[in-house]
Amino acid sequence: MYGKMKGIIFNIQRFSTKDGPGIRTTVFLKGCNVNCAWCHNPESIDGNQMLRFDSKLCISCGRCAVACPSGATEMVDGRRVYYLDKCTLCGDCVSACGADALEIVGENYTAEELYNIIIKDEDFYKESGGGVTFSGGEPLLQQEFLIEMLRLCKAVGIHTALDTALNIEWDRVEAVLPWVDLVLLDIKGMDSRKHFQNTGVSNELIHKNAVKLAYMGVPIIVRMPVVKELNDSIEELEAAADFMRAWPNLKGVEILPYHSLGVDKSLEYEALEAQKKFKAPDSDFIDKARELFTASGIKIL
Amino acid sequence: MLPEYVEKSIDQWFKKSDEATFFERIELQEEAVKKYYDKPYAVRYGKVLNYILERMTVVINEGEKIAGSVKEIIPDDEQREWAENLSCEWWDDVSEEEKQRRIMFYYSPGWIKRRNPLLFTFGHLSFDWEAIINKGLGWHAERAQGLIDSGEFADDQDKIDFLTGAVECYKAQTVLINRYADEAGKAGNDALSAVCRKIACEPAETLYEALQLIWFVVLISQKVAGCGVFCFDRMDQYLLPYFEKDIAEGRLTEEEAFGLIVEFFNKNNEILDHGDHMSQESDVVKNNLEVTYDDPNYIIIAGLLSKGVSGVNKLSHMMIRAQHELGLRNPFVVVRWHEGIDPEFWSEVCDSMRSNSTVVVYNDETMIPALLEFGIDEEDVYGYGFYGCNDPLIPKKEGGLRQLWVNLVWPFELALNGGSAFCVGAGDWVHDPSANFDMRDRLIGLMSGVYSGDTEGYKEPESMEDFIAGYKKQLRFLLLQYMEKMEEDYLKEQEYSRGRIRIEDLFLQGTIENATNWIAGGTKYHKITMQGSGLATAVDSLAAIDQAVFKEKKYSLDEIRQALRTDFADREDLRIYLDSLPKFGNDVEEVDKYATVVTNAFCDVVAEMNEKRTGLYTYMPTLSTDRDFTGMGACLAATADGRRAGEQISENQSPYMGADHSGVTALLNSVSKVPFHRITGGPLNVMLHPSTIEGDDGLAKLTALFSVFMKRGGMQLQLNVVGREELLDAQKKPEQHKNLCVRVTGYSAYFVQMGKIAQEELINRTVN
Ligand code: SF4
Ligand code: SF4
Repeated sequence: MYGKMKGIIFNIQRFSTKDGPGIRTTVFLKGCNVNCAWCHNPESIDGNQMLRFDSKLCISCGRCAVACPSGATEMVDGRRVYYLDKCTLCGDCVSACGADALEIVGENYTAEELYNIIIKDEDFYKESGGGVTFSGGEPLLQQEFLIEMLRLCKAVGIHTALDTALNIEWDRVEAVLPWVDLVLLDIKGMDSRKHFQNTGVSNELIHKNAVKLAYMGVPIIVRMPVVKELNDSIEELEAAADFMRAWPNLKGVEILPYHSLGVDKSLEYEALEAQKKFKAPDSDFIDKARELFTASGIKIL
Repeated sequence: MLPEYVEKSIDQWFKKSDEATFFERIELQEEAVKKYYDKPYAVRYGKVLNYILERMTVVINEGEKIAGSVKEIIPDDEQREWAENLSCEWWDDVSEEEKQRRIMFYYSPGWIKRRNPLLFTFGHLSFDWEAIINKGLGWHAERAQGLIDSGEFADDQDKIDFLTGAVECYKAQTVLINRYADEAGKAGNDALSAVCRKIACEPAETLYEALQLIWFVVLISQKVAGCGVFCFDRMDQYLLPYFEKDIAEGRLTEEEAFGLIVEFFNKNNEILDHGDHMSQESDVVKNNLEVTYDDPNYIIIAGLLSKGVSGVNKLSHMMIRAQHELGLRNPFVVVRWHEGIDPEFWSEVCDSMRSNSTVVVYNDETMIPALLEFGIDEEDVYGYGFYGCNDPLIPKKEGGLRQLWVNLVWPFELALNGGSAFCVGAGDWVHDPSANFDMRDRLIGLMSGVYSGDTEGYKEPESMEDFIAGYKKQLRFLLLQYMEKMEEDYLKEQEYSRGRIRIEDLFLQGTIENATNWIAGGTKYHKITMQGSGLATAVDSLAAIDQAVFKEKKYSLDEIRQALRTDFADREDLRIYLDSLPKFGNDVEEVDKYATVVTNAFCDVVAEMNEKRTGLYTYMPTLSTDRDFTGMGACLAATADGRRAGEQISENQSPYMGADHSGVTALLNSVSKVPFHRITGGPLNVMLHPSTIEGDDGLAKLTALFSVFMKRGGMQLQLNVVGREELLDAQKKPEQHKNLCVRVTGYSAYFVQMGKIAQEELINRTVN
């Protein structure tokens, strides 16, 4: 039935100003098939709902254990113990917790429900030349739901953007393109060995798809997350410029230095510490990149 | 680029001592009050003013074009003690009843104690600035003298005294301005000397003369007579002919005009002291000896001149640019937005707001219908303006502020409990039904005690409609009770004010013509602003009752009543559930619809008051809390939104603190559902992180964001673009952030000069 298909959503960000033109709503679909070392939202990688627990906020009151109907949460020696296999993700413990220590990560939405949220900001999209951006994770992993969403939005003239890493069979990419007004293409590195080290996947398929996409008539903005010492070399930049130089629909390249991605403060301490080992590229990196890309006729956004 | 003098003046202002004060005012005033004690009141007023203006030090700062400053010293202990003791002499033996007859309304005991009872005024109004510059002080004096000589009022000695006092006052101002002319001449500053000599009596003919004359009147009224919190009316309109003439006749370049405007704006900051009047606990405020020390002066620009005719002109652009470049807390520029406003100008306004300059926006499209509904005539409505903090006025046609902070959460508590309060209130207020709106409430305009409502004919509500009817009934009961007492108060005050004068009576329309001060009815309009407070708390509580009791039927009304009565003792589970229900500010229709319910209930009652009133005053509804939202929660029991007893209520038009988590578009959508076409003022503080709106692209997005809010019927916007990290850093290293200027409610403050409590409130509301 139209609009009843379900998707699993990690987050919805309204007044998003960094994911394409104008004022946008960015919808983060859960599930990813690339595993970037610097990822801020490790919970977005798994394509399923999960229960997130923040031990820093927990006051060990035991309400969660009382509320749990499935025996998945217990108090042992005054501490919360959780059995993943028994949990049905019913959310009862989340509503019982007054300390905001628990959260169900990932929410099921029907296409209609999600559309009803997106459409609320229609006036803002129109006034600013904005629209909706589907991001992730990798939104193409929920391809059917995505198509449903894109069609609903296009039907009322909302500008649509797709944020993808393209690490997926070409026909799945091609199938959504008729309803996509802009692709935000994530390029995480040109050197294939380093790409594998940094993301756990090869960039071969990504590059093949990128070249095909470049000639499909859809405008493209390339986004390059840059982390010091992982992918901030001049060689990477040169290779990227060479790679994209001829693309007819390339609107420009956005460099995203690591720090501006914003570390999620709710991460567990260990995860937060792990994040800290990543650093932003040197301050003149953007200038170098601008020079280099401009020389190849590519705009830096 | 700012003129060199202004750069220097700003720098010096930040460096000046917290203790510097205009001490000679107090000394001269005391001498004069004693000297003229036997004169009739209004005459005495004029003599005292004249005595001070004949003697106060003339200060001309090097490099300035626009002169007019006061001499500040740091008083020694003995001087300070003497000055402190004066307030005991003046006020200690004055009963509340007597205070009420004399002054009727004031902020707080701290505010009143610096004021000699003779020179009393509450400010918060707009003079007829246009008449001041177009006609001159001499004309004003002659007009008043002419009325005395005409014999029209010969049989009413009070009126003759009033006019005689007025003539004295006008002449006194001429005296001071002439003294500036003399001093400037002695110092070889012939240009300034000539300007002062001319405007001492004559009308202004150039932009320079106009600004200089306005400034002298401000200096005298504000720093000497204590009449602060000015509205300057529509400055871009009434100065335009002067500017255009100067340009046409080659007297001035546009850049020079800009320099004069910047200097004038800066003067408003220059006369402030450090500190923030809403942080009464801070030492700077407690020890201050001034009559006015941090008053925001409002300048109104842009807006419609009449239906479909925009007022945006060259000066509007220039004034926005001035605010942007100055970045000061004072003056406070109000831009009136309207459909079809010049897009370039609108973008400049948003850019200026983005830089945290003191600029706020009001919507003509909602304000005009609201003012028409609440008693303003068609011929006056396009001229509306504001004074601090965000209260509407019709400039020059009405006197000072009178208000009541209407706690919109009280009727909820009363409706839930059959008309009786839960009586958890703190404080020294008498918990006695007859104490509702007792004298202290009325004097300070706050509902700060425990209130009881209408207990008659209570029936347990069977539907949400019943419950809402109960809410309206209690709200109506409270406000009609207030009105009845207030009308008696004003009759007493009017009686007392016969033959008396306040500085503002010199420059309002109707006072001199009728030889009647505004309090006794000289002006066309008199109003009491009814500041609806705690909107989001009331809305969330009603929505929670609807959801929990009537929709989900999860809890009975009685269960909730018991839990709220006991502040959720043993019912933390219920509190957590109530807290988890959707809240105002997230664009959720089932909740937001109660914003319409509450606002309409409020406006309906206010409209009814206007029908029933017999006195001079009309009532105007706004949605505003100023910073008193903490105090207003103190006597309230727990509420159905999960708020605990005694906790603060929601601030201004904002969602409850931390309750909006769906983004700023959701916030603006929720707020714009309020029927603002019936609301006449009040602020909405919007916080944005600098990174979301940086660059040209970011400006375009911000402009679009605000345009949509206005088009959807939002009323007001004020913006803080600051990250939490910056505020925390400012707390640690205040010296590095001394000019970080933030909008608080109806005024701006330098963050590091705010009290600790106010700083924390702001930090808590700031996004990461
Ligand atoms: S309910 Fe929340 S705070 Fe209490 S033990 Fe469970 S997780 Fe911790
Ligand atoms: S989500 Fe449900 S099943 Fe899982 S731990 Fe919480 S209460 Fe138990």
